[in-house]
Amino acid sequence: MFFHFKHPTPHWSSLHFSLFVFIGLLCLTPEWAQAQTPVNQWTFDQANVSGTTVTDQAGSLNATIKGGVTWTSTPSSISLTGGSYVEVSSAMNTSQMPQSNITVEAWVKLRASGGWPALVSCVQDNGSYERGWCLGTHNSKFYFSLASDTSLTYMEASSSFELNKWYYVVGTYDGTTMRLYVNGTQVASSTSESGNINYTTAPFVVGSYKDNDETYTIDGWMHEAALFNVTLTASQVQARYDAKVALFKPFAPSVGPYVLFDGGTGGTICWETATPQPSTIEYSCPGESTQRVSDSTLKTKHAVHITGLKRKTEYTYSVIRINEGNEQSSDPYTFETDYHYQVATIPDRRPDFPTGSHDSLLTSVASALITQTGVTKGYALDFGGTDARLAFELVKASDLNVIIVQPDPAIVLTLRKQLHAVGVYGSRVSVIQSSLDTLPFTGKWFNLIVSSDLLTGGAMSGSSSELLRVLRPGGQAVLGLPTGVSGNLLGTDPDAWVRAGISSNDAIITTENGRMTSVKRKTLTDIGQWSHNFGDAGQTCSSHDQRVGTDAMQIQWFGLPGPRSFTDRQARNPTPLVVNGTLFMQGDNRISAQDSYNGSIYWSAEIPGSRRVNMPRDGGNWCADSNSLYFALHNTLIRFDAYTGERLKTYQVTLDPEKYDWGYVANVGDKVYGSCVKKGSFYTTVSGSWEYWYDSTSSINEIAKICSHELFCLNKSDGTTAWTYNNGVVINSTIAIGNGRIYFIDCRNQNIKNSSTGRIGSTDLWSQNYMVALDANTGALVWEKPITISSSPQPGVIYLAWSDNALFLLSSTNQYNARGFSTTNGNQLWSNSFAWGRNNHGAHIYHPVIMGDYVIAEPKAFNIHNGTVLKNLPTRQGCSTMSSAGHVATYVNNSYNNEIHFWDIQNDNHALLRGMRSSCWLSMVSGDGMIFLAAASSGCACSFPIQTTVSFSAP
Amino acid sequence: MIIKKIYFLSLASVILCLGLASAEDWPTYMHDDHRSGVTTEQLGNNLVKAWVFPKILPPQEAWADEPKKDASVSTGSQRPFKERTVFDRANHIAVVNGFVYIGSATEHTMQCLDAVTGEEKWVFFAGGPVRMAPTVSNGKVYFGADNGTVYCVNATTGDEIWKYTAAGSDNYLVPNNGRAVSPWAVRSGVLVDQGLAYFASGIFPSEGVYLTALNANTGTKQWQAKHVNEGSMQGYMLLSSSRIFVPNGRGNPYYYNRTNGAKLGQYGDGEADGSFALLVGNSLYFGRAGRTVGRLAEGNAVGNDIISTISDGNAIVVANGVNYLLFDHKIQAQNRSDKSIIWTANQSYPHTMILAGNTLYAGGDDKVAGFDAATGNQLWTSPVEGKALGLAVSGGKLYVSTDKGLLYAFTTQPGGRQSTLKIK
Repeated sequence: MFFHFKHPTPHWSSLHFSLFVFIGLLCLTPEWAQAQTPVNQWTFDQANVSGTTVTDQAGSLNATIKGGVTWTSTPSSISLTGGSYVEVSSAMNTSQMPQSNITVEAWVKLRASGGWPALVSCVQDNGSYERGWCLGTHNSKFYFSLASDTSLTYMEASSSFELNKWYYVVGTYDGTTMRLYVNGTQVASSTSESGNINYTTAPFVVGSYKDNDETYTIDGWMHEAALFNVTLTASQVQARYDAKVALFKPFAPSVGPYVLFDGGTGGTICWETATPQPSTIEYSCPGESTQRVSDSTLKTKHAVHITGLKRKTEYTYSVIRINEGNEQSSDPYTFETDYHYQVATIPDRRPDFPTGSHDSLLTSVASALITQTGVTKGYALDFGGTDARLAFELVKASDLNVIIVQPDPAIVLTLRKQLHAVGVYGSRVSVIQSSLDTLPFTGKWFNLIVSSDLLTGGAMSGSSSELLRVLRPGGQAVLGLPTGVSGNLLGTDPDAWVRAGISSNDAIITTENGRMTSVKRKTLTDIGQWSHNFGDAGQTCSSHDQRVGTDAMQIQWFGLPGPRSFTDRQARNPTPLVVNGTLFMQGDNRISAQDSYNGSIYWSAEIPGSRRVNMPRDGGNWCADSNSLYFALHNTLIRFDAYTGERLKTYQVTLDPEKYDWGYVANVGDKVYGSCVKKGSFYTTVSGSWEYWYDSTSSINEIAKICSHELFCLNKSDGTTAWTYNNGVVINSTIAIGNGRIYFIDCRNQNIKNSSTGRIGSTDLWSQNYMVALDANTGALVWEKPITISSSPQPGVIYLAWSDNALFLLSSTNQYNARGFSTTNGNQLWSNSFAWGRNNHGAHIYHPVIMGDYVIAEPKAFNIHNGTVLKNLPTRQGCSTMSSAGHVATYVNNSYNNEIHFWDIQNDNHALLRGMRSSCWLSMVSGDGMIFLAAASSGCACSFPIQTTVSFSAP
Repeated sequence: MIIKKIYFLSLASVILCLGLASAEDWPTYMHDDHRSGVTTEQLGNNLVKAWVFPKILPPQEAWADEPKKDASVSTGSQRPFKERTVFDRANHIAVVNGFVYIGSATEHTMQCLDAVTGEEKWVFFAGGPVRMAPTVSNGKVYFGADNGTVYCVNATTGDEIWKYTAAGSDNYLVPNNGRAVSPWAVRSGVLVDQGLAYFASGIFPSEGVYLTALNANTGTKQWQAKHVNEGSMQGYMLLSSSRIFVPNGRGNPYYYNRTNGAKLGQYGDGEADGSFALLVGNSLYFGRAGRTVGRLAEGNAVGNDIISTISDGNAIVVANGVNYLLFDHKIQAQNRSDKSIIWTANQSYPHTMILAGNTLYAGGDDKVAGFDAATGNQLWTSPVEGKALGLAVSGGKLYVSTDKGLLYAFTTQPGGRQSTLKIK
């Protein structure tokens, strides 16, 4: 409209032409495509800029850049900060502005919020003098204000915007109604104004609020701003958003990013890119300015280390790539240092350690011990220690905590004073007075045992069998001079002392010519492991650990991770894993690895976007072998080193990674197994409703099954594909591996095959079902059998498990249906349908627990081979499912008294532990001769006194 | 095991001993065995920093933080969780006869400081983390440690007088976040009354927890009761004439017969949880977390019923017929008899509160302040580093313990200096 007055003649001609075209378009095009031409448009692309002038691409109001700016591309944008903005006019002739119909739009990404920075404004708001309009921000919300009389009406979005994220913001007015749109959606409206807009002469600016006496500039980026002299409809606004939104898709790394907390107060941000890139990140926390760390070396695997992180603080970070010569940032991610579990730092403000006659030797020994043993984390014991220098040097050179045990109180006091003086006493080193014949420690504790007394001229005393008792399986005692330290041992050859109390049945004993005797404790016999979400690849929900009992179990350790790190207890979350001395915990977008015998945290990582819940309908997202953890993240499976957290390898899904994510996870021998699940299928929501307890018997929102359009097997070593299977859509919770075969149930209904999602709630899933057995190494079909699944009503859960060369299928309708199958040919051997204890609090979705041929499908226990009912179990309180070791089942009963039970099926003994709770699913697991209770009751406000991670050990 | 230090006391320091108000000891956490947080000592309104005693590292709390919220309730009803086990997030103190006694869970020590200068007089090494303030009585300092042992040391010299381990030969140590801790750690404090020293020992109900009374002079056992699968004794214990009250970690408190340690009962499940507890007359206030909101409960200290609850309350101090209530963003004085509000101060000092004479002191984030108990008017404030979680008044000084491991001493007269670490 205002162009008519500024340039009447040519524009009337234009208008006539436009009207002609407009009328024609009315006949030919849908409503959303009509009348979308702005009268002014400033696209912030350097191609449109000459000096400080930005060309108006729709009209003739070129704008001027005020202040210093920078430019980025993909999308093209101007970065405004420190008071810079773009001025269209310092005193706009407002008669040229839209009068009663107006649309103002902007694409913006804000770096900071607070106050009243505006996106586009032509306004005066000076006390009671209010004129014009403004599309702006107030604190963290967008607003649109407009005055038709003498007072501005401010409309604000109800939701806050996020920083560092692109938004399309639009304000419209049609003479009666003001509307505010964010990303194509109307978020506010008002009829408080009517008639023409009441203007006065005012600055017309972009990227700022500016009137006669106030200026509030944005801190962020603008891609474009435009003005219309018509009122765009909701559908037109949506169409304009849809047409451009793809431009604003942020840079997404091919793997990650995630933060590995790996020492001191630092962390390493890790990610991968498809093409070689510099490694650049920006990070910040509340109250501090953004910091940038960059390494210009081009690479595809990136790791940027940052230090000086504050305790209990949430940080925001993004990773940045160079695209067509310009920087492109990822979405912002967050991490919290609550999850930074590293050992206490050594203060540097203390005086040096007092000098002693053996300082050089002990410093060399400390370094050599770490090199020889590779032990850098956990606990070390200085057995009969008399010189604190060794402990001090060990903690300086590693993440170890050291305990010195010494019988002489005078020596104890001296060592304590020395260590206190240098600031490590208590926090990293402690000295305990005790006889060396009977140590006050629980067994299987220490990763490393040394003797400073022996190194400085003494002799081993006390009991070597006691030394072995407190040495962790796999742990090492190095008594004497470690490899790499020259000279003679000053103390007495410890070999005879060692062999007097330690048998080669229990430990590997190595002697070096009187200089050193080392002891490496062997792995315990009869222990089991919990390597997969449901115990093992057979889905037995058991570690098969034969050492775990009920009577003599005692606390082995307790502590971190605490409840804050875990996903809320209701969401049926993935279980912990226990393999080869390492306990893995999965929290909320977080994983950690710790010593299963003493709880020392090896490493922890915060991995945005990795959360998966509702395991009864999913099946799991991780597993482990003796040295590695395998963790599904989007379309990849990351193999982490169990001890260091280093990313050893990244495996890819076998179908299009743009369309499929990694679903099922298992490993056996030299193979890893996975499946392709359509993107967006996983359950990830945990907050805001009881629905996210996933406890319904019938709601499709809760019981729809996660299914895979392809099952595959990769070679662990190089990630090459061993085989794939896609004859049907596989139900993830039915995949079980045992004795060289992989078993599952699939659906070959074409509607299911064509499904656009892998979270399938259609009843078609229960037609054309087959139970299939493949050779696990080759993928060759061994047998397949049509199978009928009771589906009226739809199964709430369906689980297939393998044990003792038998298959057990448990599904539910309005009761449980249990069946046994032959692994030879898939023939059904037996079946039994029985009522569940109740239809809530998890009693209708229990996972089967199998100990050899003894299968518990609460409230019954069967012989897995013939279906004989072995026991009828009472209904129990609480919402968790059972887990088991070799002959001990663990479960919660009577949740309000917070009772945990260990139940030995061999002798019917019970151990009762009060005061703690599990999650609402499966957070008690066993392995390495222990039972672990994770602090996974997170979010539960009930009155139980202890909420921590605890380990109970057999003698 | 002690280190004795002799320091030169300057004339100025001696002068500083002469406080303006009548000095009163602060012999245990929150002043007395009711944990009243009330002293008659009145400080001036012109407090200035006398000294700061820095610990090497911040306190290493026993328990990790609660989750942010209960995610299962509707988004609009989700409220930030209150931390429940907060007894050891600062180094709480006792002050007697011009000496300050401060323990450390990080350093496994009990230290004695000169109240005038903040300089260390002696340090005693315990066999494990010392999480609670000591009790000082008749020239002796009583405290427990995470190794399961209670210590009694000479208040002047730090020499060990006796020690006692409730679990006896059953005691053993297990790994706990880099430390060596007994399942029977002493996390109740020690209270001394009528010649007996009372304490509780034990974290895990399934292992059994001990309640013990010792001869305070000799450390010999008077009685000891073991309770299996009934509570986790964590939080500052309290004494009435007939009962021993023991907070139950993040749960709700138990109470026992004072003459033999027999269990008498537990206050209602879910009313209010956490390690805060205060005994006033026939009321035991405890909390400070409810199911979805903060909450204090008032239990019948001679019965078992719940008398009232205080939504969102963080702490309470009671004196002269007035309830002084501490909330996240306000402090309120309430007539105790009819619950009418006397005044409200809209101030954010959410962590702790004490009453010294006519002045309420309250701790906030990086700040501490004094308020007129009659009006709620703010009289004084000072910045501190960290959350002000512990307060004490004695000998003319206000002491503030923060979660950064700092102990501030404020006095009504200028002077003093910042302490430095003295062990060379």
